[in-house]
Amino acid sequence: MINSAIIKKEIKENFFVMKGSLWLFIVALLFSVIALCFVSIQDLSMLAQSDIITTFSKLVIVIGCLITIILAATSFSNEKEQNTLESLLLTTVSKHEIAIGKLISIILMWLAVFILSIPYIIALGEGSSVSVSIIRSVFITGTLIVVIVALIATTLSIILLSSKNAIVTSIILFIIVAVPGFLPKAVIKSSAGSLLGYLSPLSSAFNILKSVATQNVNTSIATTGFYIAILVWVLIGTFIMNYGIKKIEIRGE
Amino acid sequence: MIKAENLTKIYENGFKAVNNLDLSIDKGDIFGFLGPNGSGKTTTIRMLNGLYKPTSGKIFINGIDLSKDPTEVKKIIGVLPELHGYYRWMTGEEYLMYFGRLYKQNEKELKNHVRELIESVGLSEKSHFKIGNFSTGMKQRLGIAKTLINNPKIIFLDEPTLGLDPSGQREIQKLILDLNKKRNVTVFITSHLLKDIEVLCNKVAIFQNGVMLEQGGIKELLNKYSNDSGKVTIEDIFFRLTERNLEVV
Repeated sequence: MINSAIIKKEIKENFFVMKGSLWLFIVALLFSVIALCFVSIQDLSMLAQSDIITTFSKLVIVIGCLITIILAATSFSNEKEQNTLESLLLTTVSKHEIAIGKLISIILMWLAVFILSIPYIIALGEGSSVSVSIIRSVFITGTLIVVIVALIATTLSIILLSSKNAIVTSIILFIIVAVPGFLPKAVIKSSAGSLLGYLSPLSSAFNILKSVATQNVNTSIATTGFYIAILVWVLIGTFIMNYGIKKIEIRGE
Repeated sequence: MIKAENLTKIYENGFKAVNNLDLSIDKGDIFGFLGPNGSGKTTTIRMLNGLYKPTSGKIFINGIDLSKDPTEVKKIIGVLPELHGYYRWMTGEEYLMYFGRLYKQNEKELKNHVRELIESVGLSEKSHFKIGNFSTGMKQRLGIAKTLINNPKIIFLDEPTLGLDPSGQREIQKLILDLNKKRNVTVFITSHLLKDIEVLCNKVAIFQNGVMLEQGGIKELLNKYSNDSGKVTIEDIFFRLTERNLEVV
C-alpha cells in the first residue's frame, strides 16, 4: 500500500517545487513575530499565559491546515493539468498507493510546521507546567485535523477539474468548518454552540487545547468527547477519500 | 500479441466512440492505426492498455485477459500517450529513475537500464538537464525511453511525432524501427503522417467514427486497391475509404 518512490517524489515536489521550504521559512518568521507581539505588546502580555499558549497553538494548527489545503487540493489536479496522471496510472502502481504516497508527503509538511512551533510554545509557556502537555496535544489534535483536511482536499483535487477549483472549494469548506471555533464565548456556552463545538473538528481541537492549557487535564470526559468527535471526522474523511480514489481516472467524452 | 473482439465503447453521454472493433496484431508487428481526428483512436488505445473499461467486448494482451488481470498486462506494455506530460523540474535521468522505481525495479539494475535507455534515444549529453529545458523532440525521445523502462513486449505510441519538425519525425521513426528490430517489441502506433506509416508499419487499420473500414498487411492493401492508372499509396487508400464513408454517413 506504500510506495516509497511516490513519497520521495512528492516530498521533493512539495518542499522544493511547490516552494514548501520557502513557506516554512515564512511560517517561522510569522511565529517569531506573533511570539514577539505576545511578550512585547502591553495589552497582549497582560493575557493569562494559558490564553497566550492556546491562541498560539490554535494558530499553529490553522497554518498547518492552510498549507495542507494548498498541497492536497493541487495533488491530483496538478497531475491532470500537467498530463502526467495518465502515465502514472499506466504503471503497476495502484490508485491507493498513489493517493497514500501523496497523503504521507502532505502530512510530513504539517510535521515540519509542528516541529518549527515547538520552541515558540516552550518559550511562551515558560514557567508553567503545561508546555509538554500542550505540545503533545498540538501534535495529536493537529495531526488528526490535518489528516481530515488532507483527505477531503485530496478528494476534491481528484473530482474537480482544476487546481483553482479544488483550492477555492477546500478553503470555503474549511472556513465553514472553522467558524464554530471562533464563535464568541456566550454562543459557545449555549447548547447550540456546544453542539457546534462537537460538530466542527477544528472547534473540538481548539476546545481540547483550551482544556489542556487551563486545567492541565487532558484525560477529562469533555476532552475525550472532543477526541471522539475528531475521530468520527477522520472516519468520514477516510470514506470520502475512498470514494475519491475510485474516481481517479482519465476522463473521456 | 494483441487481440480485441467486438470491442465497443459508449461514453456516459451516450456517444459511441468505438463500435464492434476486432483487432489482431502478431508478435513483432508494427501496426499503424489510422483515422481522422475524433475517430476513436485514443479511446481504443486507452481500452487496450486498461485505462478505459470497454462497454462490451474482450481484450487479450499476450494471451492475458485484460479484464481479469490488468496489472499483469501493465507489466508487459509501455505507453506513450498523445498528451504526454512531464515533471518539468526533474532531469531526464531522474524522470526515468522515478518510473523505474514505480515498477519496483532493482536500484542497481535500474541505473544501468536508465543509462542504456538514455543512450539508445540519443539523450546522453542532456540527461542531467531539467526537462523544462528540453525541446519537443527531446521530450518525445524521453517519453519513448519511459515507455521502455519496464522492458515491455508491446508499446503503444499515440501520435509520437506530433509537433515535431521533419528531422525530429525522422529521428523518432528510426528509433521505432530500431526498437522493433533490436528488442523485438511489438509496436501499436497512431499517426496522421500517412507516408511515415507506410514506411514504418507492416500492418495497418483504417478507422473512422468508431468503425473499422479496413485492415491488413500494407502490401496486401496496396495490391488490393491498386488500379489500372498506376501505383496507390496508403494515403490514397485512406482518403478513398474515409471520404466514401463520410458520403455514406
